[in-house]
Amino acid sequence: MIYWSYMITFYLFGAGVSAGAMLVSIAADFIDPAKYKKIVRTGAYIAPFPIMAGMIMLIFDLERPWLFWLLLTTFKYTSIMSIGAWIITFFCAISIIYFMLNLQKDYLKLKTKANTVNAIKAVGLILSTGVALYTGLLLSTLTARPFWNTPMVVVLLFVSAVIDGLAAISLVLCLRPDCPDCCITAPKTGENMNEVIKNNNTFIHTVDFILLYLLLLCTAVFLIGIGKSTESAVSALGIVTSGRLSVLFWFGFVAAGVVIPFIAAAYKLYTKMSTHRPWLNFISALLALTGGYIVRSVIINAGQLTQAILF
Amino acid sequence: MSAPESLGKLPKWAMLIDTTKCVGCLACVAACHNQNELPVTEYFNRVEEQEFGRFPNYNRRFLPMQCQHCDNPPCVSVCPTGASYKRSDGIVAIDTRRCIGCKYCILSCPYKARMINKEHGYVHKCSFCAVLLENKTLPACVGTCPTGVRVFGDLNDPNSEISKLAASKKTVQIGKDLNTKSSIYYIIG
Repeated sequence: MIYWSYMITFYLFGAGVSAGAMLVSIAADFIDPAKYKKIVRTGAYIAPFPIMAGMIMLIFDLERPWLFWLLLTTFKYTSIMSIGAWIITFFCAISIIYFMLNLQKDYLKLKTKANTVNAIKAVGLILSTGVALYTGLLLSTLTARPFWNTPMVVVLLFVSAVIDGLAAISLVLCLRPDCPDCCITAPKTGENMNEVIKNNNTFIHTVDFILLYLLLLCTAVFLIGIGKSTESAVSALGIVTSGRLSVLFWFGFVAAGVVIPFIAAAYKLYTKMSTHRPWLNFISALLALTGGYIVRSVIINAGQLTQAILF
Repeated sequence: MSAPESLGKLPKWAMLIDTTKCVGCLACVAACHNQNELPVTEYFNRVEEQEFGRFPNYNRRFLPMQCQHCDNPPCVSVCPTGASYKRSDGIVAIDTRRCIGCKYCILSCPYKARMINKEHGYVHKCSFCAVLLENKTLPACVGTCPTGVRVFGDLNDPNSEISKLAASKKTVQIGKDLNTKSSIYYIIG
């Protein structure tokens, strides 16, 4: 029986995109803030919103949505959901601060205080890692659900979250070709702009190349691990690989969500970004994002359709 | 019938279900519905029918299932608001006023013992008829069983029937490898 609907899928997806965007943004900022300025900024602009939309979906998936505030008056260290609710609350706060920190105008009057800015980034890094891990841990700690009860779910959803965050950044960069501050598509001012585009593209495609390869490995190890597990886990695997979720899984996630973006990234790296094709970025980012939603949907549904066989 | 007296300390309620005596009459299910005033689509206990063996050595058993009142209950540890809790007498209970209906506990329960109340939205389940226990009366399913499948009692009382039966080699706890430490012991035929 399905207890957690598509709204929970969307919630996990939104949390993944936000955490991923924030992680990528802070990482790019750490590597080279001047070179990857656009990625840093776009990531900061994206981070607060998908997770907030996800939280609204989560609240409406509750049977008693008007009591959701009880989540934020209790802390229970044994409950991943309680820990997660707190991590997400703090994440939302820090992502808004980080968002404002990256605006043109210095509303917070913090930009000159390097220590404070670094502290915000450090806390943001920790919290976004926490959010990205939480979506997997929420599922993997339930022993009653053999399809979820594997540590690979955590790794898979974490890697997928970073890819989704990066894809969201790449997508927004494609959608705003005329923005002088966050564009990689339509160069306006000569050689310098082309250099910026190339740098950002190299970052996006290198990270994509590595992480999509990793995601493919995670998926394979996840499936093999489930396939060599208990009877009920094997029956869950059947639903995913050859049953009613198989078309979504193989075509929606593996082919469209991982393999095609991986080939696109490999192609871009192989040609050394010599030709700039915004539509390629756009399609590959869109496919990666849909793949990220589909894999969460498949995992959530397959886990609920099967249960540990006790006797 | 009356519930066994505890020996000056808190009881630790437990149940034994002898499936070899179960005839599948579902009187326990009806009694439970009646006692807890449940809607038709919701139930706290059920009787699973299982078939096993290979023809001609073939058999069938009835397996009454309900909340196992685990000593390491996954539903209690996952509950984010503390609505699900373990009472000191061993009963896993729900404070329905604190339940937000996130359904995490339902997904965490390997026994499928939890139900959503369609009318109010909270999660509810078997409470070992805690209301009846306060009046020294046995739970409805135990009192109503015509073939004596169910034995109910206090594990803290070493002289009780349940203590002696639970210690015997015949009994098993279902889902033991999931580390739930359930309070319902089964004799499987």
